[in-house]
Amino acid sequence: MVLLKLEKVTKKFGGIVAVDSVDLQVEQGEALGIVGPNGSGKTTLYNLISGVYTPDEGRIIFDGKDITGMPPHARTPLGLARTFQIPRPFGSATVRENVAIGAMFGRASMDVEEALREADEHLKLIGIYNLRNKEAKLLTPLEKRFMELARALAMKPKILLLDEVMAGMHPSDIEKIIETLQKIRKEEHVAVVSMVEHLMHAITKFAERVVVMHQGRKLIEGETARVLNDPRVIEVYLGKRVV
Amino acid sequence: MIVSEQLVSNLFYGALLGSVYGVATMGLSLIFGVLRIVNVGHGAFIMLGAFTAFWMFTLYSVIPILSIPIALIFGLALGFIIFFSTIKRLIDAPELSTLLATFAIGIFIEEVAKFVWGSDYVGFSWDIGTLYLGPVTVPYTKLLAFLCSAIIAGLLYVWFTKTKLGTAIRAVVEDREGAMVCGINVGRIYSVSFAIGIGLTVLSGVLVTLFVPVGINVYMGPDYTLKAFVIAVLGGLGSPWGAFIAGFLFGLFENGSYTLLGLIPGVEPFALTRFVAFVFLLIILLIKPTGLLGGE
Amino acid sequence: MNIRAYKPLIPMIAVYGVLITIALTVDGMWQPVAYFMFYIALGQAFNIFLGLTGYVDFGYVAFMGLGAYGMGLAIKNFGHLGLIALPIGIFLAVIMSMLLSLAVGAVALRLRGAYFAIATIGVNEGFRYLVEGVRLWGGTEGMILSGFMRKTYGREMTNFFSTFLSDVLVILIAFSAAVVTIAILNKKMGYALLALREDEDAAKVMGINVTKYKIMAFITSAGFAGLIGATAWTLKLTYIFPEDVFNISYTVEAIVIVMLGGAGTLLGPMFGGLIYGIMKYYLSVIFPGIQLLILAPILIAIVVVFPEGLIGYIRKKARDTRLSEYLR
Repeated sequence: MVLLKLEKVTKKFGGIVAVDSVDLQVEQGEALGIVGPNGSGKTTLYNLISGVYTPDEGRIIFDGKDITGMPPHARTPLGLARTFQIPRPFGSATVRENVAIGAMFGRASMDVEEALREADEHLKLIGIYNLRNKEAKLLTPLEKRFMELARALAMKPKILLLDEVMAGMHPSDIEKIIETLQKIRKEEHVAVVSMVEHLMHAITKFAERVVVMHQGRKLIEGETARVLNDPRVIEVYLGKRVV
Repeated sequence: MIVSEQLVSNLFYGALLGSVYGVATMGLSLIFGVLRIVNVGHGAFIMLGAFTAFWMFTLYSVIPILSIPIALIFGLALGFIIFFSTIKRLIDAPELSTLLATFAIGIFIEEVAKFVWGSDYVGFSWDIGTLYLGPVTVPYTKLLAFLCSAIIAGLLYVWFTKTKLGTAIRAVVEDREGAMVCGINVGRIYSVSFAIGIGLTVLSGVLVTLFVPVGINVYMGPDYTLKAFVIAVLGGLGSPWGAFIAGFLFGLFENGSYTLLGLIPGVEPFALTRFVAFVFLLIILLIKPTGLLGGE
Repeated sequence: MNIRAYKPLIPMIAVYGVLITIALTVDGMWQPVAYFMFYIALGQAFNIFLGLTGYVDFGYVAFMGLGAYGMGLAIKNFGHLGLIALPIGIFLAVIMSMLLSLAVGAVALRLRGAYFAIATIGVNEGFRYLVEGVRLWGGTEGMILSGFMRKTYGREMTNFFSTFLSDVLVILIAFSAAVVTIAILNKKMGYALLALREDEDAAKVMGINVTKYKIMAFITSAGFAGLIGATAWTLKLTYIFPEDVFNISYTVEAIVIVMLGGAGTLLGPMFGGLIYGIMKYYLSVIFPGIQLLILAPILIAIVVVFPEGLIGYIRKKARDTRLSEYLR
């Protein structure tokens, strides 16, 4: 079942076409990877999906609904959640409160008490329960990443958009994250996780399917191993003459 | 037909006055463009310029035109002082902090002025003749004000585009991080831009007195602050050129409105024009907050 | 409802208790305590907006002014019906200030902080110019109600209004504003405001309809401002002049009180209002007319050096102690 569909989505900034007539589909429960060098339009794509930008052309359909013109806060209750490349915690709130906010205003729309309990659950799942009463702005960058993830999960999303969530992480942490994500996909059934990564081996471990972006356009998509070994993809990352 | 003559005359005035408004607002736009700080106390600096012109004329018989460089230097110095004592520490603070700080600075200046100069209304009279041009009657002082404004705006344009420092400032407005990477000392740009912004604002106070040499008093600021913001937003907060052009438009609007409202019996045009200006501001902010000429 | 979350009201009730006791028992202290309570109420009301959203409304006093006029109009037009004019006045005051805030807020709160602040700069002046320019409600001459009130209600009753009654009402308003504040802090709305205050864009992506919450905080704060204007001004002074009731110095004082005590905290405005009220009361005897001259640098100093305010600072220090349950 198709959960998210982008039809010929285009976004321009002045003279630059950041996203160029992109078609994309994400299935329920899928593990999709979106890959591409810096500037290929990945983050813009995310911003379009989560509603920070409105496309100049094209449509975005989520769970059967046309959400193209919807403001960001209206999309979240439908089941959309995302993390940011540079984490954006609510600094003066505790870790617990941060995650609880996700539960309060996400799809589950819980009240304060419930949300705080839900936050505890997710903190335990991710493994940062011991940090729960710490002020978010005092966390290390890595801890902030984990918190972002917990917060996004607390929103009970149908689709989870992760932005470079594993960049710069220790391999063992990466393992842990991938394990956790697989667990969530299986247990919550409906959660779809798509990652945007430079880390090829992480993508290979995690994603069943991969989409490669280049200069705002979709270059190629398909089964992970096949796509990542495609000469065009290698060229895009490493340049023509290297191979 | 006297009404339309008056209207034409007023509109002409409005365009001239608009150029002064434009210069008055350029400082505001510059400070926002470079430092991303909204100087809520803007009007207080215009007031200082006005008083500079007044005292120079009254005490030392210095004609207002010559007070312009004096006001500029005074403004630059004041700008540097304020920057290094307060603004510098607030560069990375949340927006609320700078709003409150500039607000308080404006009030402080007004209160010190009141303490030193009293709260009376003062004025002076510098009459160098009048130009008669068809239905339009324009004192030379106002023409002079327009001329000075245009020259200053022109000089600034040349400075921004042709000099190293001016170009560096434009770079910081465009892209702070990019400018840093290019080796531009952004900290220095901040202090210089702030000082220039304040300098321009104080200077414009002198120009304002060329237009309205009476009614100078320590609380005249807030009026101009409101006007400046309408103009700055209209022209695009962060775009000094937009501010200049928007100043014209506002000058026209203000004088036109004043004339037309004055025709309605029982209405005080002075007060009501301000109210209309305020509503106008809200409308612009709603429809196109980046201003008619972009810049944000 | 989680009773524990309302514990911070206890220190507040204690302080109020002490103040009221002093006012009632010590000779001549009723007036100063009422004076302090005015500033506490002002701070508490303004905190609901400035403190919780992080947005500043430079035209805030306009809501107080409108509230004052609301009460004035009620007394003037319904006084002949007897004492019922007073509750009508309260009602009018709240409605008028809330309507204005809804009108301004629905437009201006869609904007980000700095733009919003700019938009509010002219509100109090704008309104004052409107009242004076269109000669509304007496125009520049304002409303003088004392004669009318004495005729309608008699001398003693009018005195009662302008002394005891208005002061008690101000105390009640201050306390209600505090209760409303902590209720907000404990509910979803409080968290939504926290999020938008910290990072408005991230809050939007989290599913928070920031405009809605900003407006809610704004009209609540405005409503209380209206109540203060109606009681501490009209009822107490029995006259209303536009240049007084739209005077920006009240906004400045409100800002200082909230920032001094700790923006966004429950107890902050109470301590801020108390400290400020005490300072002003005893110092204005020595320095009449230069309060803004002193206030302005104080505000700058607070913003630069001490932005979290008194309660904010204490909370930081008391973070892991039992005391923190009582400090919000």
